[in-house]
Amino acid sequence: MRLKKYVALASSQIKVDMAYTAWYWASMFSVTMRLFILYFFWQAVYENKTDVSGISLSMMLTYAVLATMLDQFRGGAGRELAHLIKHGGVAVELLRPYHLLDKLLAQDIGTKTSTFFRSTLPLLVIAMLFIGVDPPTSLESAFAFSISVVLAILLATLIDLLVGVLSFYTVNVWGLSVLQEAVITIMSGAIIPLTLFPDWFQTISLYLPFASLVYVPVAIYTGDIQASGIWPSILIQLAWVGAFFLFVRLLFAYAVRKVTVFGG
Amino acid sequence: MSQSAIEVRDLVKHYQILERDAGLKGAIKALFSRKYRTKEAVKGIDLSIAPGERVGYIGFNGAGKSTTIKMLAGVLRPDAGSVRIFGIDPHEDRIQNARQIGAVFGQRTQLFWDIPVRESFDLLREIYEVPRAEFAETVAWFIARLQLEPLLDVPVRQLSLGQKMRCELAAAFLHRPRVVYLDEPTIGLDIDIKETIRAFIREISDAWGTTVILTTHDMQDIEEVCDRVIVLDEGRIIYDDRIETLKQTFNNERTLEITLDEGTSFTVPPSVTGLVTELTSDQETDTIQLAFNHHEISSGQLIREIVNCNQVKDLSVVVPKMETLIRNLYQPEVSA
Repeated sequence: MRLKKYVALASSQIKVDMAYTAWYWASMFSVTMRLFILYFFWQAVYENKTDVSGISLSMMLTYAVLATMLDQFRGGAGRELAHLIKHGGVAVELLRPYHLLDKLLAQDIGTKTSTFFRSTLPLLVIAMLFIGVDPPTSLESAFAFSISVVLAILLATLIDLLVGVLSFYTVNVWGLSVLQEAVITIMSGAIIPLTLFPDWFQTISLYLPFASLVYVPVAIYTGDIQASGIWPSILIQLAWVGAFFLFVRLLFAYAVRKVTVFGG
Repeated sequence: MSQSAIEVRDLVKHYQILERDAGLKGAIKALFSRKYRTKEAVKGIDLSIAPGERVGYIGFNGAGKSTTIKMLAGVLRPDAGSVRIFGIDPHEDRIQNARQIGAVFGQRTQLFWDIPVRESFDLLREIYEVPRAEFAETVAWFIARLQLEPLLDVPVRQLSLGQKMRCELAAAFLHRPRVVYLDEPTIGLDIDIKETIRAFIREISDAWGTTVILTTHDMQDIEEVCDRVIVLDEGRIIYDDRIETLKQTFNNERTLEITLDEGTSFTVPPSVTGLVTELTSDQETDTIQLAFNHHEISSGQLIREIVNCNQVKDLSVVVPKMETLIRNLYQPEVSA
């Protein structure tokens, strides 16, 4: 029963998250605000137009809402790891009969499950009622979207963990994580669809993992990525997930060999 | 020959310390050229500890105690030498080793900060894959011994230091580990809780044959819990023996404290010259401390000789404490 302990860690994390109600309401409020800002922003942009580069207002709002939702699932585990390393808690973690990365991943899944039910679902209802979200373009795109979303969230966690593992080497990863944040926000398409960027930028982002984080799943939903492009895009996501998974493990295994525990 | 619990050979660990000049200039300089200084924290340690032994591992701050413990626990990788815990290399097979060890690391909590103690224990049960029946039995026992009942539903972050340490101790033993490392488990605690903790460690270790490695600055801990003492100084072992042997070695050392009548001066009786050493002599309060060997001259005879030729107001014989014994180990020339 190897998996059981990780399930226990995940469900315990859900309970912990439930306990922080003030934080929950604060984040609900801030995401709601963000949704309405996006709404008014795009209203203003579309004031005298019917489309921007072939994207209609309702399609753009659908994109913006989904991208904002997906953006809530970024990170967490890496920050936790960096904290453990910086404050020496990693010593206790290394005494436990589990792989620390698996434990962080399990807790992350717990947190993200509770985020989904407590925050994403209600916000989605608010968005549907007040902003307007188009239904998925086809049954296939709805199905592909749900797979793509899971891969996107997993990839985001792995990238975050990678930055976390680096704190074994640099102690303070604050600068690095600010950089990561900025790069991901722009290059993942969390703010505006990648198709609105210049061609050269789109070409670069094709070869980078960031588009897989937000743009790919949302574009599958909105039909921006068409039927023939759906499964190759998901395959690319899968490849990135596999690559990052292995890379983070290797880097972690190497880091643990030269770990120095701070504070005696 | 039976397997030993802990087997350590030629253990060495250095740290690389970044050398940096003070101030902003130093900080900028360090960005471009980094100079490292090597600090040898542990310089070749050999240890062999039998199953069920309770070992007090002591030394001044920075002597290398915590570093050794972390290598024994598999958290740090030794630079040279080998460690085996019941035959397992704790760093290479860290997860396998983790099942057979438990630990309390001073201030660092191993409970789960945000959830109540009871749920922390349950989570540990899952993590260590302890069978339910065995776990229930263990927890019931620990609750009784450490008086945990009122604490079970309190979130860990709300516990006081003494409450938290009792829970930490329970957590370290929950999965019935074969070896437990206790790094300063009594630091900052009041005497009642210290007593509870010491009794608990003894009882569990006796019942399960748990090997215990205890580091502490409180010699009372060592005296009451351990049956063997290892003293570490600057990364080397300078003493390793049974606690009774340590006590016997210095058992005959006594100190006589004498207070004289005001205005009188102290004369050493000729009959005891060479048998006593004057440690301190304070003219203001008219007190004198004499060190002597109980074996060479009995307390009774020495007192009789001194009273005969001095105006003595008060006197008392002091038997050295464990602390003094240990201090003597560092400065052998004083105790000779």
